[in-house]
Amino acid sequence: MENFPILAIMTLFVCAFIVSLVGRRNAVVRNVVVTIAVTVPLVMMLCLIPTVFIDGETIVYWLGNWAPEADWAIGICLEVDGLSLFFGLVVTVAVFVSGLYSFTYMNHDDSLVNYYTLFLMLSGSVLGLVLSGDLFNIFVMIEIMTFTAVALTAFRNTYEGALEGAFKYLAVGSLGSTCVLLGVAMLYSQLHTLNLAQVAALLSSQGTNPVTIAAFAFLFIGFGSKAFLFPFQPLAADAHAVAPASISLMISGVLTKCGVYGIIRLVYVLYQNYDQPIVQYLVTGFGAISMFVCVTMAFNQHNFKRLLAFHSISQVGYVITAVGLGSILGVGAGLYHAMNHTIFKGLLFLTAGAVQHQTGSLDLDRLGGLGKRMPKTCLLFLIGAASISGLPPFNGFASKWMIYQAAFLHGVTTGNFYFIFICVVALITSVLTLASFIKVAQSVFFGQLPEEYKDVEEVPLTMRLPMWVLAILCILTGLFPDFIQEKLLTPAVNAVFNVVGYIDTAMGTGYAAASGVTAAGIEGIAVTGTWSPTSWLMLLFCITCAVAIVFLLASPDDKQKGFPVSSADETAQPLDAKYEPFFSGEEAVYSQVGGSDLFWGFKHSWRRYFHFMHDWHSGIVNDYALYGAVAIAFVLLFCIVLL
Amino acid sequence: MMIVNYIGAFALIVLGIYCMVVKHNLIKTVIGIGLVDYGANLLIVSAGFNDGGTAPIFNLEELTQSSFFVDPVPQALTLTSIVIGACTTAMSLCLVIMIHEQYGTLDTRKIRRLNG
Amino acid sequence: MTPESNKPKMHRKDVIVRCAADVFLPLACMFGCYVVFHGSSSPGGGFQGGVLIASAILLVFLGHGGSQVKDSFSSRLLHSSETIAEIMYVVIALLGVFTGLNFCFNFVFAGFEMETSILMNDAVGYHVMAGITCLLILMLGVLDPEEEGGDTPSDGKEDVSK
Repeated sequence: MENFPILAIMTLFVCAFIVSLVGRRNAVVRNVVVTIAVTVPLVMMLCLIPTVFIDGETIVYWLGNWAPEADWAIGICLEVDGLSLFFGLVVTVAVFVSGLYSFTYMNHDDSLVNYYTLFLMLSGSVLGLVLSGDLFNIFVMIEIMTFTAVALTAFRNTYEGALEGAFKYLAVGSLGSTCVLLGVAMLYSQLHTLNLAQVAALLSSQGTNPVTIAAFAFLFIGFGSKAFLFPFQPLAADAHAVAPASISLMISGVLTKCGVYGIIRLVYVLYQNYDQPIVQYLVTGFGAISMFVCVTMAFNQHNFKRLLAFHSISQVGYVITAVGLGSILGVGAGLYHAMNHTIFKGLLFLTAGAVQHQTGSLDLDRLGGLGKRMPKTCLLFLIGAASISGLPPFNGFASKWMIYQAAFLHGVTTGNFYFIFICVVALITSVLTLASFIKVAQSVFFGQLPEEYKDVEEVPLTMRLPMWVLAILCILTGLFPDFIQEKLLTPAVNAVFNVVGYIDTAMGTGYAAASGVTAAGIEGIAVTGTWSPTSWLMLLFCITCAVAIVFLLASPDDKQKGFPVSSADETAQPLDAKYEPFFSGEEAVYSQVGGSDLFWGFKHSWRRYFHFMHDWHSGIVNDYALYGAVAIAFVLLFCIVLL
Repeated sequence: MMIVNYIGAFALIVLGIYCMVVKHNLIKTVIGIGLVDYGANLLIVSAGFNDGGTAPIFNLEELTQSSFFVDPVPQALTLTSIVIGACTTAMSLCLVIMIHEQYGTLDTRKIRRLNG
Repeated sequence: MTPESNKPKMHRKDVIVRCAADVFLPLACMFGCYVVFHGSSSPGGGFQGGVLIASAILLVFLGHGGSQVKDSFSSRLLHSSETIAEIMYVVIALLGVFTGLNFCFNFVFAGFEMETSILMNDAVGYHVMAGITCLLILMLGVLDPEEEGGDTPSDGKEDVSK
């Protein structure tokens, strides 16, 4: 049991090596090894649940038995608390699904041995990152993660743009990695330790100075770049659009979670400055900007997976926003949404992969009507789309509801209008997400079936099965939020706030108290959101009534009068003749509205913004590096001046 | 005296970022990535340096309370990070070669099929 | 490396270079091995020694040209060696787990003056040697126009021997 964390990581790495050794000769052996490699860590993580989640223990594992000597952590350790295990579970589930999906999905490609080797190394590094208790190990794992992800992005190197996307990811991603390294170096120069627990204790006892604050800024932007926060989102879009779908799942569902995990560790455990308003502004600000910018960028896209990529970052923005609130409910909501994001975004990427596998295209303008040919994939896509747009009763609704609640409550209790504004932004983003997914559903699965796709067939069961796993998880986590809150979120959130326990388990009892870390005074917190199925039924009813009223008021006679909708609804446009097609469609002959045209009225009235954003995502690696550098400079100045 | 190293490290990093931002050639971008890495490495090594310290190699009996040596941990970290930096450079050059084959140019302004 | 290797054809007929390469090749390998095997008690270690051994391939290239490199080294064997070294490292590290101690535990076999850390060091040396040799062969393949550049974007460079 004690050895499970290291064994889980090592299983993935060793199997990666074994695959590259034996997989060249025999595909069956290779698949068996990969199956073992993706299953065993999942089982091990599940086995850790009783110890860590139920008993609330923290497992500390000193490699080579190099336990702390004279209160100095000289060895490298793995430290598994509730938070680590929570992310470990998310990661292993995603790896499991992605691995199973790859078997059929990748059957058109060659040199699969390289693919599986890199895939397993990617999984191992991510798992190593979330279970590690050592700053430098985290950096090494981030680097392995970036390399393997880049190599996998470029895996289909004959695809248009694959190499380009990979290069941009590598260049700007290495900027982010270097930030992490700089932060680690600065922390080491001040504290002479790399152990997370000891860093937390020493930062608390020595107080902060400009160097540690600069380290905070560097680590924040470094982890933020790994979560593809605001100025880094073009990388994600480029990488997702060209990577195989199973790798898109990994990048969106797993790699971004590493960034989220890093930020939570940084803010809540290492620096414990989550209750400072400046930090809250910083983190929620980045989250809110990411979620809004990315969701609007998604409107412009013509590539299925590129669109999904922007949505992915938008949802990560939700997670970061919730985490930055610094409240118990906020962290709980953030973790819940992080989990849900992996599930529903994974599902959506897998459906996109299914479409790509069967039709060979991801172009939203060319696809259409596939719902007739691939009804099961269509159903799965709709489940995922409903989840991501926050429609009840799927999981996206439950977690988004908690996020709204957390942001609003935080704004009310602190009397700060900023957080209420964040809540409004989150609501608008959710509306836009729904709109965007209506567009995707319309252009891929409904509408007219192009001639060239008349003979498209449903994907085989081996590909549908992983999707069904995710779809069922979508529904289950949405239907039983109380269960999730009690069994998964509460232990994880307890671990986030139980810094004393984290330090004491690693460094020996009493170390935390000696260095002045005080318990947050919130032992045994329960995360609850007031969400109940009856209230969403009421809500649904209200919304239906509202929509009906709007339609009635906007009857053809009243068109000149304008569109009486409350100002909070950003999508509504004044209804004059010019925008008529937005609402009613064009003439009956052309009622087949093209996918990317569905919201052209909206796009038309926001055209300046869209043009600006389109030019902003120029695709030139220099520009992206510039955005990254500006972000680094901004965060650095912001932290040093204000913290 | 270490202040020179710190200034040098940050100067290298800024130079590297400048190179990545301004130069429109993929090879120069790779050089920029490398410079940023070297700056970080220089910073770590400098952070572990003790003026007048010896090399941190001792047998158990030689090691006394009064022995004064430079911190070995940052050196190990630097070594690791140099290896990682070399891998980054190798990998990005690999990609550059293939991009050149596919696009026929190294100008970043022309390598922008994924945009918007 | 680059200026010489730009003109591989010149060197191939150069007797002095070829003889010097032949003389120094065993020395380079020997020195590399020395650094690997003494890595546990002196500066250096698996990584540095491995690189030293691997760089001996450049001597072969300088002395005998690219085709000779291609003939004498099997890229596939090197790949396998790399993997075997990785597995070796992990298996030695896992000894600790199997005996009820922790991963990477350093057993000291007093009778043989041997510790597991030395073995792990050797595994790292072996791995780095194979890995860097692979890399060099790829690079030389790119430089030499006669040979195909076998540059796949995916290879096992990502391992970091920490």
